[in-house]
Amino acid sequence: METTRLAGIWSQRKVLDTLVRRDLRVRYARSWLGYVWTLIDPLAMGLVYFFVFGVLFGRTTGSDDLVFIVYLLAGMLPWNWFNNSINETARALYAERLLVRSTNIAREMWVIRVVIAKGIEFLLSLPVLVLFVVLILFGADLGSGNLSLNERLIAIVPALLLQFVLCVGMGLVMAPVTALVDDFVRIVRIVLRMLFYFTPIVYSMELVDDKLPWARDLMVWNPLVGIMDMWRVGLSGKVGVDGWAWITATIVSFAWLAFGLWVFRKLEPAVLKEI
Amino acid sequence: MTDVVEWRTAPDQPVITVEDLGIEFLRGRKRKLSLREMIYRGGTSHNKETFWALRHVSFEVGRGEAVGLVGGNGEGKSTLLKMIAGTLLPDEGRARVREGVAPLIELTGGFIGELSARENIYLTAGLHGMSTEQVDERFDQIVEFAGPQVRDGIDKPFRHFSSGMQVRLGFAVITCLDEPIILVDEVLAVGDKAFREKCYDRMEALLEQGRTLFLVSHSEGDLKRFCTRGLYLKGGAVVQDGDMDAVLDQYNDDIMSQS
Repeated sequence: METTRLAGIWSQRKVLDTLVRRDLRVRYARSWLGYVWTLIDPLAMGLVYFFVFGVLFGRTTGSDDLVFIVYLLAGMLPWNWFNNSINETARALYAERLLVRSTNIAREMWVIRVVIAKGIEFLLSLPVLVLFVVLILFGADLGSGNLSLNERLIAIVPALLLQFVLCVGMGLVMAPVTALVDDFVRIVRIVLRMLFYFTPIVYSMELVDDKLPWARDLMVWNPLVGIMDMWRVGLSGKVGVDGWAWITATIVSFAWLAFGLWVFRKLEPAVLKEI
Repeated sequence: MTDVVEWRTAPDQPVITVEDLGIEFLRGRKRKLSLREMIYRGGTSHNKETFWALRHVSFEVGRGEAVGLVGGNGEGKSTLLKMIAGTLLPDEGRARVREGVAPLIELTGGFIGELSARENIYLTAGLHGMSTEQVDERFDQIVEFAGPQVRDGIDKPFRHFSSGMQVRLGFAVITCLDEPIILVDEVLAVGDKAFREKCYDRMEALLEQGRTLFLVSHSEGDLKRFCTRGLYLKGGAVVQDGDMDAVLDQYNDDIMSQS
Protein backbone atom coordinates (compact mmCIF):
# COMPACT_ATOMS: atom_id res chain seq x y z
CA MET A 1 0.00 0.00 0.00
CA GLU A 2 2.71 2.47 0.99
CA THR A 3 4.77 1.64 -2.08
CA THR A 4 1.87 2.34 -4.44
CA ARG A 5 1.34 5.66 -2.67
CA LEU A 6 5.02 6.46 -3.12
CA ALA A 7 4.77 5.57 -6.81
CA GLY A 8 1.78 7.89 -7.10
CA ILE A 9 3.70 10.71 -5.47
CA TRP A 10 6.63 10.13 -7.79
CA SER A 11 4.40 10.26 -10.88
CA GLN A 12 3.11 13.66 -9.79
CA ARG A 13 6.48 15.21 -9.05
CA LYS A 14 5.87 17.95 -11.63
CA VAL A 15 3.13 19.34 -9.41
CA LEU A 16 5.67 19.43 -6.62
CA ASP A 17 7.81 21.73 -8.71
CA THR A 18 4.82 24.03 -9.22
CA LEU A 19 4.02 24.06 -5.51
CA VAL A 20 7.57 24.75 -4.41
CA ARG A 21 7.92 27.58 -6.91
CA ARG A 22 4.67 29.01 -5.63
CA ASP A 23 5.89 28.89 -2.03
CA LEU A 24 9.17 30.55 -2.86
CA ARG A 25 7.53 33.17 -5.04
CA VAL A 26 5.06 34.05 -2.32
CA ARG A 27 7.90 34.28 0.16
CA TYR A 28 10.16 36.41 -1.99
CA ALA A 29 7.59 38.37 -4.03
CA ARG A 30 6.52 40.72 -1.29
CA SER A 31 9.82 42.51 -0.86
CA TRP A 32 13.20 42.68 -2.53
CA LEU A 33 14.58 42.21 0.96
CA GLY A 34 13.19 38.66 0.84
CA TYR A 35 16.53 37.01 0.23
CA VAL A 36 18.34 39.27 2.66
CA TRP A 37 15.99 38.09 5.42
CA THR A 38 17.04 34.53 4.69
CA LEU A 39 20.60 35.59 5.55
CA ILE A 40 19.93 38.06 8.36
CA ASP A 41 17.86 35.69 10.45
CA PRO A 42 20.52 32.95 10.93
CA LEU A 43 23.26 35.56 11.11
CA ALA A 44 21.56 37.40 13.97
CA MET A 45 20.75 34.24 15.90
CA GLY A 46 24.22 32.85 15.28
CA LEU A 47 25.80 35.99 16.70
CA VAL A 48 23.54 35.91 19.76
CA TYR A 49 24.45 32.30 20.56
CA PHE A 50 28.09 33.06 19.81
CA PHE A 51 28.18 35.89 22.36
CA VAL A 52 26.22 34.02 25.01
CA PHE A 53 27.95 30.66 24.76
CA GLY A 54 31.19 31.48 23.03
CA VAL A 55 32.09 34.73 24.75
CA LEU A 56 30.11 34.96 28.02
CA PHE A 57 30.42 31.30 28.93
CA GLY A 58 33.87 31.20 27.39
CA ARG A 59 33.05 28.07 25.49
CA THR A 60 36.14 27.38 23.43
CA THR A 61 36.43 24.16 21.58
CA GLY A 62 40.14 23.65 22.03
CA SER A 63 42.67 22.95 19.32
CA ASP A 64 41.29 19.46 18.74
CA ASP A 65 37.87 20.70 17.72
CA LEU A 66 36.13 22.86 15.19
CA VAL A 67 36.17 26.65 15.71
CA PHE A 68 33.12 27.42 17.83
CA ILE A 69 31.35 29.90 15.52
CA VAL A 70 31.61 27.44 12.61
CA TYR A 71 30.59 24.54 14.85
CA LEU A 72 27.58 26.57 15.94
CA LEU A 73 26.46 27.59 12.46
CA ALA A 74 26.99 24.09 11.02
CA GLY A 75 24.45 22.95 13.61
CA MET A 76 22.12 25.91 13.69
CA LEU A 77 21.43 26.24 9.97
CA PRO A 78 20.29 22.60 9.53
CA TRP A 79 18.36 22.98 12.77
CA ASN A 80 16.51 25.97 11.29
CA TRP A 81 15.49 23.85 8.32
CA PHE A 82 14.23 21.14 10.65
CA ASN A 83 12.45 23.59 12.94
CA ASN A 84 10.79 25.54 10.10
CA SER A 85 9.79 22.33 8.33
CA ILE A 86 8.07 20.85 11.36
CA ASN A 87 6.32 24.11 12.28
CA GLU A 88 5.13 24.69 8.73
CA THR A 89 4.16 21.10 7.91
CA ALA A 90 1.95 21.16 10.98
CA ARG A 91 -0.12 23.82 9.21
CA ALA A 92 0.38 22.40 5.72
CA LEU A 93 -3.06 20.92 5.16
CA TYR A 94 -5.11 23.36 7.18
CA ALA A 95 -3.52 26.55 5.82
CA GLU A 96 -4.02 25.38 2.23
CA ARG A 97 -7.45 23.88 2.80
CA LEU A 98 -9.04 25.75 -0.12
CA LEU A 99 -6.55 24.20 -2.50
CA VAL A 100 -6.56 20.81 -0.84
CA ARG A 101 -10.34 20.75 -1.21
CA SER A 102 -10.34 21.70 -4.87
CA THR A 103 -7.50 19.67 -6.37
CA ASN A 104 -6.94 15.97 -6.44
CA ILE A 105 -3.21 15.57 -6.11
CA ALA A 106 -1.61 13.06 -3.75
CA ARG A 107 -2.16 14.85 -0.46
CA GLU A 108 1.32 13.95 0.81
CA MET A 109 2.54 16.59 -1.64
CA TRP A 110 1.32 19.36 0.63
CA VAL A 111 3.77 18.17 3.26
CA ILE A 112 6.68 17.33 0.97
CA ARG A 113 6.47 20.73 -0.73
CA VAL A 114 6.95 22.50 2.62
CA VAL A 115 10.06 20.47 3.40
CA ILE A 116 11.53 21.18 -0.05
CA ALA A 117 10.69 24.90 0.02
CA LYS A 118 12.20 25.23 3.49
CA GLY A 119 15.16 23.16 2.30
CA ILE A 120 15.81 25.60 -0.54
CA GLU A 121 15.63 28.51 1.89
CA PHE A 122 18.11 26.60 4.04
CA LEU A 123 20.50 26.12 1.11
CA LEU A 124 20.17 29.84 0.39
CA SER A 125 21.21 30.58 3.97
CA LEU A 126 24.40 28.49 3.71
CA PRO A 127 26.47 31.49 2.48
CA VAL A 128 26.44 32.59 6.13
CA LEU A 129 28.41 29.47 7.07
CA VAL A 130 30.63 29.78 3.99
CA LEU A 131 31.39 33.38 4.94
CA PHE A 132 32.78 32.43 8.34
CA VAL A 133 34.73 29.49 6.93
CA VAL A 134 36.33 31.79 4.35
CA LEU A 135 37.07 34.46 6.96
CA ILE A 136 38.88 31.93 9.14
CA LEU A 137 40.73 30.38 6.21
CA PHE A 138 42.00 33.84 5.38
CA GLY A 139 43.37 34.20 8.88
CA ALA A 140 40.65 35.98 10.84
CA ASP A 141 40.87 35.13 14.53
CA LEU A 142 37.38 34.08 15.61
CA GLY A 143 38.34 31.98 18.60
CA SER A 144 40.55 28.98 19.11
CA GLY A 145 39.98 25.73 17.35
CA ASN A 146 40.70 23.89 14.18
CA LEU A 147 39.34 24.36 10.69
CA SER A 148 40.60 22.09 7.98
CA LEU A 149 38.29 21.27 5.12
CA ASN A 150 38.68 17.66 4.05
CA GLU A 151 37.19 15.03 1.76
CA ARG A 152 34.64 14.05 4.40
CA LEU A 153 32.64 17.11 3.29
CA ILE A 154 30.89 14.56 1.08
CA ALA A 155 29.00 13.47 4.23
CA ILE A 156 26.86 16.58 3.71
CA VAL A 157 25.04 14.69 0.94
CA PRO A 158 23.71 11.89 3.18
CA ALA A 159 23.07 14.54 5.85
CA LEU A 160 20.76 16.43 3.47
CA LEU A 161 19.04 13.23 2.36
CA LEU A 162 18.48 11.94 5.87
CA GLN A 163 17.16 15.26 7.09
CA PHE A 164 14.75 15.42 4.15
CA VAL A 165 13.48 11.92 4.92
CA LEU A 166 13.17 12.78 8.61
CA CYS A 167 11.31 16.06 8.02
CA VAL A 168 8.91 14.48 5.53
CA GLY A 169 8.23 11.58 7.90
CA MET A 170 7.54 13.82 10.88
CA GLY A 171 5.59 16.29 8.74
CA LEU A 172 3.29 13.53 7.51
CA VAL A 173 2.34 12.97 11.15
CA MET A 174 2.09 16.67 12.08
CA ALA A 175 -0.12 17.81 9.20
CA PRO A 176 -3.14 15.52 9.65
CA VAL A 177 -2.96 15.52 13.45
CA THR A 178 -3.00 19.33 13.67
CA ALA A 179 -5.87 19.46 11.18
CA LEU A 180 -7.87 17.26 13.57
CA VAL A 181 -6.65 18.35 17.00
CA ASP A 182 -6.76 22.08 17.70
CA ASP A 183 -3.99 22.65 20.19
CA PHE A 184 -1.50 20.05 19.01
CA VAL A 185 0.62 22.87 17.52
CA ARG A 186 1.35 24.24 20.97
CA ILE A 187 2.81 20.95 22.13
CA VAL A 188 4.86 20.67 18.98
CA ARG A 189 6.36 24.10 19.66
CA ILE A 190 7.33 23.20 23.20
CA VAL A 191 8.86 19.90 22.13
CA LEU A 192 10.83 21.64 19.40
CA ARG A 193 12.24 24.17 21.82
CA MET A 194 13.33 21.36 24.15
CA LEU A 195 14.77 19.39 21.28
CA PHE A 196 16.97 22.34 20.36
CA TYR A 197 18.85 21.85 23.60
CA PHE A 198 18.85 18.06 23.32
CA THR A 199 20.70 18.40 20.04
CA PRO A 200 24.41 19.22 19.96
CA ILE A 201 24.13 22.71 18.48
CA VAL A 202 25.52 25.06 21.12
CA TYR A 203 27.54 22.29 22.78
CA SER A 204 29.34 19.19 21.56
CA MET A 205 28.77 15.52 22.31
CA GLU A 206 32.21 15.47 23.98
CA LEU A 207 30.80 17.79 26.64
CA VAL A 208 27.92 15.34 27.18
CA ASP A 209 30.38 12.43 27.49
CA ASP A 210 32.27 14.48 30.02
CA LYS A 211 29.43 15.73 32.21
CA LEU A 212 26.57 13.26 31.71
CA PRO A 213 28.04 10.02 30.33
CA TRP A 214 24.75 8.14 30.65
CA ALA A 215 22.90 10.71 28.52
CA ARG A 216 24.70 9.78 25.32
CA ASP A 217 22.88 6.46 24.98
CA LEU A 218 19.58 8.31 25.05
CA MET A 219 20.63 11.26 22.91
CA VAL A 220 21.99 9.07 20.18
CA TRP A 221 18.39 8.17 19.31
CA ASN A 222 17.84 11.77 18.33
CA PRO A 223 18.56 11.46 14.60
CA LEU A 224 19.75 15.06 14.49
CA VAL A 225 22.83 14.07 16.53
CA GLY A 226 24.10 11.96 13.65
CA ILE A 227 23.00 14.45 11.01
CA MET A 228 24.82 17.32 12.74
CA ASP A 229 27.94 15.16 12.99
CA MET A 230 27.83 14.53 9.24
CA TRP A 231 27.82 18.28 8.71
CA ARG A 232 30.85 18.85 10.88
CA VAL A 233 33.31 16.06 10.05
CA GLY A 234 34.19 17.65 6.72
CA LEU A 235 34.99 20.99 8.28
CA SER A 236 37.75 19.75 10.53
CA GLY A 237 40.03 16.76 10.11
CA LYS A 238 40.24 16.48 13.87
CA VAL A 239 36.55 15.80 14.45
CA GLY A 240 35.98 12.06 14.64
CA VAL A 241 33.09 10.23 12.97
CA ASP A 242 30.39 9.22 15.44
CA GLY A 243 29.51 5.92 13.76
CA TRP A 244 26.69 4.89 16.09
CA ALA A 245 24.98 8.24 15.74
CA TRP A 246 25.13 7.94 11.94
CA ILE A 247 23.54 4.49 12.06
CA THR A 248 20.76 5.47 14.45
CA ALA A 249 20.12 8.66 12.45
CA THR A 250 19.54 6.52 9.35
CA ILE A 251 17.31 4.01 11.14
CA VAL A 252 15.25 6.60 12.99
CA SER A 253 14.78 8.85 9.93
CA PHE A 254 13.46 6.03 7.75
CA ALA A 255 11.33 4.74 10.62
CA TRP A 256 9.70 8.19 10.81
CA LEU A 257 9.05 8.11 7.08
CA ALA A 258 7.33 4.72 7.28
CA PHE A 259 5.35 5.78 10.34
CA GLY A 260 4.42 9.10 8.73
CA LEU A 261 3.14 7.47 5.54
CA TRP A 262 1.05 5.08 7.61
CA VAL A 263 -0.42 7.76 9.88
CA PHE A 264 -1.17 10.02 6.93
CA ARG A 265 -3.03 7.32 5.05
CA LYS A 266 -5.05 6.42 8.15
CA LEU A 267 -6.09 9.99 8.93
CA GLU A 268 -6.55 11.31 5.39
CA PRO A 269 -10.30 10.54 5.01
CA ALA A 270 -11.10 12.17 8.35
CA VAL A 271 -9.01 15.24 7.54
CA LEU A 272 -10.73 15.73 4.19
CA LYS A 273 -14.12 15.67 5.87
CA GLU A 274 -12.92 18.19 8.41
CA ILE A 275 -11.15 20.92 6.45
CA MET B 1 -9.61 24.12 -25.43
CA THR B 2 -8.87 21.80 -28.30
CA ASP B 3 -11.51 20.31 -30.53
CA VAL B 4 -10.53 16.70 -30.11
CA VAL B 5 -10.86 15.01 -26.75
CA GLU B 6 -8.10 12.57 -25.95
CA TRP B 7 -9.48 9.50 -24.19
CA ARG B 8 -7.48 6.92 -22.36
CA THR B 9 -10.32 4.42 -22.08
CA ALA B 10 -12.02 2.31 -24.73
CA PRO B 11 -15.17 3.92 -26.24
CA ASP B 12 -17.59 1.49 -24.58
CA GLN B 13 -15.89 1.50 -21.19
CA PRO B 14 -17.56 3.51 -18.45
CA VAL B 15 -15.50 6.54 -17.43
CA ILE B 16 -16.98 6.72 -13.94
CA THR B 17 -17.89 3.62 -11.96
CA VAL B 18 -19.35 4.11 -8.51
CA GLU B 19 -19.66 0.90 -6.50
CA ASP B 20 -21.52 0.61 -3.23
CA LEU B 21 -20.27 4.05 -2.21
CA GLY B 22 -20.83 5.22 1.37
CA ILE B 23 -19.56 8.06 3.51
CA GLU B 24 -20.21 8.69 7.17
CA PHE B 25 -20.19 12.09 8.89
CA LEU B 26 -20.42 13.14 12.50
CA ARG B 27 -23.72 14.74 13.31
CA GLY B 28 -22.25 17.25 15.76
CA ARG B 29 -20.95 20.35 14.07
CA LYS B 30 -17.81 20.43 16.13
CA ARG B 31 -15.45 17.71 15.23
CA LYS B 32 -12.16 19.34 15.96
CA LEU B 33 -10.68 17.80 19.04
CA SER B 34 -8.81 19.60 21.72
CA LEU B 35 -6.09 18.00 23.80
CA ARG B 36 -7.05 20.14 26.79
CA GLU B 37 -10.54 18.73 26.67
CA MET B 38 -9.31 15.18 26.28
CA ILE B 39 -7.11 15.47 29.34
CA TYR B 40 -9.62 17.28 31.58
CA ARG B 41 -12.62 15.17 30.79
CA GLY B 42 -10.94 11.92 29.98
CA GLY B 43 -12.55 11.94 26.62
CA THR B 44 -14.07 14.36 24.20
CA SER B 45 -17.32 16.16 24.63
CA HIS B 46 -18.27 16.16 20.99
CA ASN B 47 -21.20 14.22 19.75
CA LYS B 48 -20.15 10.80 18.58
CA GLU B 49 -23.39 10.20 16.74
CA THR B 50 -22.79 9.67 13.05
CA PHE B 51 -24.94 9.47 9.96
CA TRP B 52 -24.41 8.16 6.47
CA ALA B 53 -24.60 11.05 4.00
CA LEU B 54 -24.53 8.50 1.22
CA ARG B 55 -24.73 4.75 1.34
CA HIS B 56 -24.94 1.86 -1.13
CA VAL B 57 -24.73 4.21 -4.08
CA SER B 58 -23.84 2.49 -7.35
CA PHE B 59 -23.98 3.68 -10.94
CA GLU B 60 -21.91 3.98 -14.09
CA VAL B 61 -21.39 6.89 -16.40
CA GLY B 62 -20.16 6.41 -19.95
CA ARG B 63 -18.37 8.57 -22.45
CA GLY B 64 -20.22 11.68 -23.54
CA GLU B 65 -23.04 11.33 -21.05
CA ALA B 66 -24.36 14.48 -19.39
CA VAL B 67 -25.66 13.59 -15.96
CA GLY B 68 -27.62 15.94 -13.71
CA LEU B 69 -27.77 15.33 -9.97
CA VAL B 70 -31.09 16.27 -8.41
CA GLY B 71 -32.10 16.38 -4.78
CA GLY B 72 -32.89 18.66 -1.86
CA ASN B 73 -30.32 20.42 0.30
CA GLY B 74 -28.24 18.08 2.40
CA GLU B 75 -29.04 14.98 0.37
CA GLY B 76 -25.41 14.39 -0.54
CA LYS B 77 -25.16 15.86 -4.03
CA SER B 78 -22.01 17.90 -3.44
CA THR B 79 -20.56 15.11 -1.32
CA LEU B 80 -20.97 12.68 -4.20
CA LEU B 81 -19.39 15.16 -6.59
CA LYS B 82 -16.40 15.64 -4.31
CA MET B 83 -15.86 11.90 -4.04
CA ILE B 84 -15.83 11.67 -7.83
CA ALA B 85 -13.40 14.58 -7.93
CA GLY B 86 -11.29 12.69 -5.38
CA THR B 87 -11.32 15.48 -2.80
CA LEU B 88 -13.30 13.36 -0.32
CA LEU B 89 -12.57 9.71 0.36
CA PRO B 90 -15.39 7.20 0.86
CA ASP B 91 -15.70 5.09 4.00
CA GLU B 92 -17.27 2.25 2.04
CA GLY B 93 -17.07 1.12 -1.56
CA ARG B 94 -15.29 3.19 -4.14
CA ALA B 95 -15.57 5.65 -6.98
CA ARG B 96 -13.37 4.79 -9.92
CA VAL B 97 -12.72 7.60 -12.35
CA ARG B 98 -10.76 6.51 -15.40
CA GLU B 99 -10.28 9.85 -17.11
CA GLY B 100 -8.96 13.23 -16.08
CA VAL B 101 -11.34 15.55 -14.30
CA ALA B 102 -11.85 19.30 -14.62
CA PRO B 103 -13.63 20.29 -11.40
CA LEU B 104 -15.63 23.53 -11.44
CA ILE B 105 -15.77 23.44 -7.66
CA GLU B 106 -14.47 26.26 -5.42
CA LEU B 107 -13.26 28.17 -8.47
CA THR B 108 -11.02 30.72 -6.81
CA GLY B 109 -9.72 28.38 -4.11
CA GLY B 110 -6.33 27.94 -5.74
CA PHE B 111 -5.55 31.60 -6.39
CA ILE B 112 -3.18 33.60 -4.23
CA GLY B 113 -3.82 37.30 -3.75
CA GLU B 114 -0.17 38.26 -3.58
CA LEU B 115 0.76 36.86 -6.97
CA SER B 116 -0.14 38.32 -10.35
CA ALA B 117 -2.99 36.92 -12.42
CA ARG B 118 -0.42 35.57 -14.87
CA GLU B 119 1.41 33.61 -12.19
CA ASN B 120 -1.87 32.39 -10.77
CA ILE B 121 -2.95 30.99 -14.14
CA TYR B 122 0.25 28.96 -14.40
CA LEU B 123 0.02 27.76 -10.83
CA THR B 124 -3.63 26.71 -10.88
CA ALA B 125 -3.35 25.03 -14.27
CA GLY B 126 -0.19 23.32 -13.03
CA LEU B 127 -1.96 22.01 -9.95
CA HIS B 128 -4.57 20.48 -12.21
CA GLY B 129 -1.88 18.65 -14.11
CA MET B 130 -0.98 20.96 -17.00
CA SER B 131 2.64 21.42 -17.95
CA THR B 132 4.13 24.87 -18.47
CA GLU B 133 4.23 24.32 -22.24
CA GLN B 134 0.57 23.37 -22.29
CA VAL B 135 -0.32 26.53 -20.37
CA ASP B 136 1.85 28.59 -22.75
CA GLU B 137 -0.22 27.26 -25.62
CA ARG B 138 -3.52 28.09 -24.01
CA PHE B 139 -2.57 31.21 -22.14
CA ASP B 140 -3.99 33.71 -24.65
CA GLN B 141 -7.17 31.72 -24.96
CA ILE B 142 -7.65 31.70 -21.19
CA VAL B 143 -7.06 35.43 -20.88
CA GLU B 144 -9.25 36.21 -23.84
CA PHE B 145 -12.09 34.20 -22.39
CA ALA B 146 -11.74 35.87 -18.99
CA GLY B 147 -12.26 39.22 -20.68
CA PRO B 148 -10.57 42.58 -21.32
CA GLN B 149 -10.53 43.74 -17.69
CA VAL B 150 -8.54 40.64 -16.76
CA ARG B 151 -6.18 41.18 -19.68
CA ASP B 152 -5.48 44.75 -18.57
CA GLY B 153 -4.62 43.64 -15.07
CA ILE B 154 -2.75 40.47 -16.00
CA ASP B 155 0.43 41.47 -14.20
CA LYS B 156 -1.25 43.12 -11.23
CA PRO B 157 -1.62 41.30 -7.91
CA PHE B 158 -4.66 39.08 -8.03
CA ARG B 159 -6.17 40.59 -4.89
CA HIS B 160 -6.81 43.85 -6.77
CA PHE B 161 -9.29 42.00 -8.98
CA SER B 162 -12.98 42.33 -8.23
CA SER B 163 -14.63 39.13 -7.05
CA GLY B 164 -16.43 38.88 -10.37
CA MET B 165 -13.18 39.02 -12.28
CA GLN B 166 -11.67 36.44 -9.97
CA VAL B 167 -14.36 33.84 -10.66
CA ARG B 168 -14.21 34.63 -14.37
CA LEU B 169 -10.54 33.83 -14.42
CA GLY B 170 -11.16 30.68 -12.38
CA PHE B 171 -13.82 29.54 -14.81
CA ALA B 172 -11.57 30.28 -17.78
CA VAL B 173 -8.67 28.26 -16.39
CA ILE B 174 -10.67 25.19 -15.44
CA THR B 175 -12.64 24.99 -18.68
CA CYS B 176 -9.39 25.18 -20.63
CA LEU B 177 -7.97 22.14 -18.85
CA ASP B 178 -9.04 19.85 -21.65
CA GLU B 179 -10.03 17.01 -19.37
CA PRO B 180 -12.64 14.53 -20.66
CA ILE B 181 -14.80 14.74 -17.53
CA ILE B 182 -16.27 18.01 -16.28
CA LEU B 183 -17.68 18.24 -12.77
CA VAL B 184 -19.84 21.24 -11.98
CA ASP B 185 -21.16 22.23 -8.56
CA GLU B 186 -23.75 24.96 -9.17
CA VAL B 187 -21.23 27.28 -10.79
CA LEU B 188 -22.24 26.55 -14.35
CA ALA B 189 -22.14 30.24 -15.15
CA VAL B 190 -20.47 33.06 -13.27
CA GLY B 191 -20.08 36.80 -13.53
CA ASP B 192 -22.37 39.35 -15.16
CA LYS B 193 -25.06 38.60 -17.71
CA ALA B 194 -22.79 38.91 -20.74
CA PHE B 195 -20.20 36.61 -19.22
CA ARG B 196 -22.81 34.07 -18.19
CA GLU B 197 -23.79 33.74 -21.83
CA LYS B 198 -20.16 33.07 -22.68
CA CYS B 199 -20.07 30.38 -19.98
CA TYR B 200 -23.13 28.67 -21.43
CA ASP B 201 -21.62 28.75 -24.91
CA ARG B 202 -18.38 27.32 -23.61
CA MET B 203 -20.24 24.52 -21.81
CA GLU B 204 -22.20 23.66 -24.92
CA ALA B 205 -19.03 23.60 -27.01
CA LEU B 206 -17.38 21.27 -24.50
CA LEU B 207 -20.35 18.93 -24.54
CA GLU B 208 -20.51 18.89 -28.34
CA GLN B 209 -16.98 17.53 -28.33
CA GLY B 210 -18.35 14.51 -26.52
CA ARG B 211 -17.08 15.19 -23.02
CA THR B 212 -18.77 13.72 -19.98
CA LEU B 213 -20.57 16.20 -17.74
CA PHE B 214 -21.60 15.74 -14.14
CA LEU B 215 -23.75 18.64 -13.00
CA VAL B 216 -25.16 19.45 -9.58
CA SER B 217 -27.77 22.16 -9.84
CA HIS B 218 -31.02 23.50 -8.48
CA SER B 219 -31.76 25.25 -11.73
CA GLU B 220 -34.26 23.24 -13.74
CA GLY B 221 -33.39 25.29 -16.80
CA ASP B 222 -29.71 24.37 -16.64
CA LEU B 223 -30.44 20.72 -15.98
CA LYS B 224 -32.83 20.43 -18.90
CA ARG B 225 -30.57 22.39 -21.19
CA PHE B 226 -27.42 20.36 -20.62
CA CYS B 227 -28.28 16.97 -19.16
CA THR B 228 -29.81 13.92 -20.76
CA ARG B 229 -29.66 11.63 -17.78
CA GLY B 230 -30.75 12.39 -14.24
CA LEU B 231 -29.82 10.91 -10.88
CA TYR B 232 -32.18 11.65 -8.01
CA LEU B 233 -30.58 11.52 -4.57
CA LYS B 234 -32.75 11.22 -1.51
CA GLY B 235 -31.93 10.03 1.99
CA GLY B 236 -28.40 9.15 0.97
CA ALA B 237 -29.40 6.82 -1.85
CA VAL B 238 -30.14 7.01 -5.56
CA VAL B 239 -33.92 6.74 -5.77
CA GLN B 240 -34.16 7.29 -9.49
CA ASP B 241 -31.77 7.00 -12.40
CA GLY B 242 -33.14 7.77 -15.83
CA ASP B 243 -34.15 10.34 -18.37
CA MET B 244 -33.53 13.89 -17.09
CA ASP B 245 -37.09 15.08 -17.69
CA ALA B 246 -38.59 12.06 -15.98
CA VAL B 247 -36.29 12.51 -12.97
CA LEU B 248 -37.20 16.16 -12.68
CA ASP B 249 -40.91 15.32 -12.86
CA GLN B 250 -40.50 12.81 -10.07
CA TYR B 251 -38.53 15.32 -7.99
CA ASN B 252 -41.18 18.00 -8.47
CA ASP B 253 -43.94 15.55 -7.61
CA ASP B 254 -42.13 14.68 -4.37
CA ILE B 255 -41.84 18.33 -3.44
CA MET B 256 -45.52 18.97 -4.18
CA SER B 257 -46.66 15.99 -2.15
CA GLN B 258 -44.58 17.12 0.82
CA SER B 259 -45.96 20.62 0.98
